[in-house]
Amino acid sequence: MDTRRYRRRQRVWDLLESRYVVHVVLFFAVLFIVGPLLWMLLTSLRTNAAVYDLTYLPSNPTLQAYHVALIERGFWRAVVNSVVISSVSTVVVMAIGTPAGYVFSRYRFRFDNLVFTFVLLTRLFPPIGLVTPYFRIMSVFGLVNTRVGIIIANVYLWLPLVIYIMRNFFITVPNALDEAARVDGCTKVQAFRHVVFPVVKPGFAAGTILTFLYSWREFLFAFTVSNDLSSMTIPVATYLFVGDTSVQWASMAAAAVVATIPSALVVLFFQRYIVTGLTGGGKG
Amino acid sequence: MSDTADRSREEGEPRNEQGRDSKVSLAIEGVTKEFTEDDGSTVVAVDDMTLDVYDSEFIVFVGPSGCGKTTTLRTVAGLERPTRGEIRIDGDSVAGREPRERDVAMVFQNYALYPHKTVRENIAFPLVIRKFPDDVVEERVAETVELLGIGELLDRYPSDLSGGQQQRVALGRAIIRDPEVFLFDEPLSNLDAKLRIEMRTELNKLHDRVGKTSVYVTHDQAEAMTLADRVVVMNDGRIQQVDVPEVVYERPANRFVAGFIGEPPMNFFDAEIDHAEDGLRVRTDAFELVLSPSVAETVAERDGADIVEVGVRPEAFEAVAHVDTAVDESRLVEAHVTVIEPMGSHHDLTLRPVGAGDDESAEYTARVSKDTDAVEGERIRLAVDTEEVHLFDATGENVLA
Amino acid sequence: MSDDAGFYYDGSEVHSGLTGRLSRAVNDHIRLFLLGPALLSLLVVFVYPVGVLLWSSLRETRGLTNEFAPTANFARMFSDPSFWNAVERTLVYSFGSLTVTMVAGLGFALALNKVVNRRVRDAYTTLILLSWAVPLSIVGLTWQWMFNGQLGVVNRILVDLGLLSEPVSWLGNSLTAMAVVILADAWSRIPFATIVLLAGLQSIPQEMYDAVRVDGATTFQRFRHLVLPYLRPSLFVAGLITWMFAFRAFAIPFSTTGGGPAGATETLAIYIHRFGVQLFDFGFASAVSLFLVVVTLVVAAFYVTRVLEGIREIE
Repeated sequence: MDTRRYRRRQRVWDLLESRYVVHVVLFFAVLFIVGPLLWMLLTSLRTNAAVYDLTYLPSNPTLQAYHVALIERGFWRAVVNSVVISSVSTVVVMAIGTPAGYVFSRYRFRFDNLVFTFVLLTRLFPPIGLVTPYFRIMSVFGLVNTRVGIIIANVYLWLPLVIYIMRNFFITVPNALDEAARVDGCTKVQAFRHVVFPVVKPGFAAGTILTFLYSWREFLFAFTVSNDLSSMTIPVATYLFVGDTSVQWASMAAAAVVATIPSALVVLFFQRYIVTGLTGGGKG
Repeated sequence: MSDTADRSREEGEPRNEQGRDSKVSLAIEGVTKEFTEDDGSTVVAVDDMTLDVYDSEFIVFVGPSGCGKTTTLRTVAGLERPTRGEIRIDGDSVAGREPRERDVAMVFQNYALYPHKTVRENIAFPLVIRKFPDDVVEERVAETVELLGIGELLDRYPSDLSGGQQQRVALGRAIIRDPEVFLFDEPLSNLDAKLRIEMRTELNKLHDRVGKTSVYVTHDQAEAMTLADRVVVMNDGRIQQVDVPEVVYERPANRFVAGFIGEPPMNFFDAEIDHAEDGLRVRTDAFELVLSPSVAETVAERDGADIVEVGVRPEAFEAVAHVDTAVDESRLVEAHVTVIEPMGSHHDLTLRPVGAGDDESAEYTARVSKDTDAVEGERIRLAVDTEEVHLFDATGENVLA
Repeated sequence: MSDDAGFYYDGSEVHSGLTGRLSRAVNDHIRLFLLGPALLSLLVVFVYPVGVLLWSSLRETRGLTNEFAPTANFARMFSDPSFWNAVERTLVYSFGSLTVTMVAGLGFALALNKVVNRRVRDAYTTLILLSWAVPLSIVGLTWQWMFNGQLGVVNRILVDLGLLSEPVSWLGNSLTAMAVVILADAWSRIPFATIVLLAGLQSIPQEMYDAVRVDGATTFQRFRHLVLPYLRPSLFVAGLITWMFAFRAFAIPFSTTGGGPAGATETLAIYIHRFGVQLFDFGFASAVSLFLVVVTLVVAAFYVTRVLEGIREIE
């Protein structure tokens, strides 16, 4: 290539790669991601009537919209439901999925690849396909409008994912560690409990955080199984504002903020774990 | 291999077959291990292996990778289940027993230290898991640490240790158990060359002090020769030879052992044999030698031995200028020098037979004194020590061993 | 847990006793013990509903009829233009979201990879991750509110900037409504793509950059011959997963537009939900579900093959 043209082109590229450009790109990226959230927050600080003022900032910031959503409409109960459902789902899924992931990372057995393929397919199976069956099964067993019903759905949704992620984490622990533990005097279960599990704890934390967030975000099954205040989750409750004849936008935004804050806090505190979990889950 | 020959040994140690009256500590009897591949085919990793290891003996399994030595060790540890055959430790069959129920301790190739435990916790683990009282554990840890000289490392984590230190901790975790048998799976292979030799010496001293039955697996023949009371040379899942290091080197049982033990490896030549009056005449493309009458006698005893190959170690050559006495024509070799590799104490020469032309495959190696004035491209005259010539028959057996 | 049984405190073996025998049994059947609960759970929460799905798809359930008619639902599905319209919309939706997600994700990842200071990079990553963590219905509601015709902030900004003379009813027009749901969908998926691609970028060894520089490559050549080849597996994974999940999307389009206006943003998932949950036409909904399942699994087969290849590499 002729050097002058090369130099000229390269100068354009160098400019594109410069620190300033990088930070400008990232500024717009953050604006794009965070902007909508900020707007929801600003909306939630108005009264339901004040959303009709076409100002950008609320003139008289107030928590009245939160009062309407949480107390008057009683959606604080949905928050409690969400906490209970997400926590119990996470505990159940991690307790069942972690040992399974360990087995897939270590042991050969008859049809092992077939069983693992089954787990992978379960994970990739579109949940919307099972909404109709779940809707019917829940009716038959009287689980409609119950927290248990939603928890069962969460087990279906996240167990295969957790098995897969935990398997990927366990693979990074050398087999020789289990073997050393067994020669040192452990049963297979003890080798898992005293040696392999402690080593894989960060991965376990990542799996736990991810499962909690996924359960917290979930809408389809929570919405299908329950729209009763006794069991519905906060994302479902927030959605129900839309069905009203006139939407109380500020209260809807307030409920949305309440539904988002726990997720956002988890992200702020556990960003590293989420990143390892997401890349670990998408690995391969 | 002078370090092997010169190595002094304390008296009374069981070194030879005769005079060994100590008990059998570990018995491997007819053990076969087969693996099923993904495509359904069967691979035989260990093939009908039988071996007795005596009390406080240091046995080294050596062989190329995939020869079944590690599988054998893992079978002894209980990490693999033998397809056929039996293993007895201290007289009891351990069939069906878990690793923890066999009285063995093992040092792994990558040390397999528990990364979330301190050095102290790592070493104590085998006792803690067996619920020894705290004071006993503490005492034994102190003893072990002192033996290995790693007292100042106790509260560190494995990731803060150097390779050699990790190696010591792994040893400590094995020693503290005071097991019937120690198993070592290539424990030095991850260390750099200098440290490996240091640790080798240290292992030697440690064994002299602790004196426990040990089975050690390595692909490094120097480790095998320096550490072993007896060397077990393996290939293709079978034992090729079991003997003390000197014998394995001086009288290799077959062509495989001859080629595997010794560095640089033995030279092999296709040979024709004539029985002459002055002894046994060996003719190859590279040289013609006359072997002593005693060799001829041995060959004659092996009636009908069909010798097809002759093996000469590089060390068995000597440049003629440095042979004091007049050299007998019958053991003289002439060759072109193609490469000289100065090794410090000696030179390694790559030689091409005079009649070989450009044929690189005919080249062989000789190890000669550093004072030899060899010149690349010139001819050189060498004498062969005919006492150190090995003869192999068509099946690869050493006729003289 | 009985697994602490096994030794007396002098180190000798416990060979008898109930706990000893139990721990022995667990040890001998470790795979069953550790894997059993998971497989049993999947049997109940997955295999059983799939059975119900298959069975329902063979029954005609329109109106008051409920009878065995193995081909009725499938025949109806394939001859119903509303089904094909839903398929078309779903393809537009999923590929639209895939395109926006991957372009933005790659841009964000390349920019993040240029940030040398690790703490600054982590801060950016955290902020970008936020939209991923937002509950899916809230994503839809947020974008619905932002693009509201009367009160939406987007209209306000555009009018104030003089780009629009009067507010536009974004969600009342089928074309712009589709654009908004695609944007909302991408907004929620971009963080995942960014994270996966950033991990791919960071797996490129520094010495490869050095080598390419010594070889005199331009920035573009470096991207083409070094970055892109290294990034290919990450692009494959991020793209495939993004597309698969966008193809089955329910919550985001449902809560943004409810499928409107006049069904213009009704994806297959919303279509299934309408028949199965709102109209109680289980048979037809199941047949459409099976269609979606088959399409997904065919695509997923590529992915699974990749993962299983990965397993072989590990061994």
